[in-house]
Amino acid sequence: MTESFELLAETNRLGFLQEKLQSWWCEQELPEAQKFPFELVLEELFVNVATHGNQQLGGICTLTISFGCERIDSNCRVSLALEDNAPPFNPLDAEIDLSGDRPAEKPIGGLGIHLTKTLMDNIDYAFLNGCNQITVSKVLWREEIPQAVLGD
Amino acid sequence: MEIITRTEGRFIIVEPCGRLGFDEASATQLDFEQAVERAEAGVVVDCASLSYVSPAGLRAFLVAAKAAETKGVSFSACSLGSDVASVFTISGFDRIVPIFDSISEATAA
Repeated sequence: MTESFELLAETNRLGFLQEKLQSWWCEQELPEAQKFPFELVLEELFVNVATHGNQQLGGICTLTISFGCERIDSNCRVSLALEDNAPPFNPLDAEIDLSGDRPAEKPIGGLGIHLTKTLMDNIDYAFLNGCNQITVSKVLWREEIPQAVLGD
Repeated sequence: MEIITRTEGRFIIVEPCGRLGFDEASATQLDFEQAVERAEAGVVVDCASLSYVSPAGLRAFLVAAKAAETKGVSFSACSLGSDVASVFTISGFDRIVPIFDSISEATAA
């Protein structure tokens, strides 16, 4: 139920990455209606590495990406894990202020990590062996998960 | 992503169709800004055919909303699907881009 692959963190690879998620999601027979937050978070995390990560590294980062699905009790937890070789950066440390109620007051930065924190159940970050490792996960609604995924 | 733009009275109606993510954000932002430039009273983004919006896509809305505020015209959105609506709500964008159920409600506000 886990798939891992490597790719270069180039923004023109985003379409390929989204197709990989779509194919894996279909193979796992996961409910299409619950894919949206994972698409959004995967795009956000990938684009962060492909822009800020590359800038900090002074080159093109290499990413290892894993999609996972595991049975938790009678539910199903889907996880996305990204590992990159950019300099250490913990997105969870970023200060986020989304309080503006007028366009001119609204900051552009911080939206992505705020959405990631809100849409996912768990986010873990570590810098190990010279790599940023971030894993996000969320439990899917049980009633829409096919029995084949849950087992008996 | 296809973007359909039309005029209804003093409003410009912009209808993005499909996904609005990182790959589509720059072109969409340009279309939104051009609509703001042309609008007499305001711009309504009809999201009925918008299936996906990411933070990069939201930035297109924000930049256009700032341009509209500077010009003194309205910038709103309508007919959001549940996924897109949840992104607007979680990010607080529903406070800076007024959300309506329909184009007629948006242009009447």
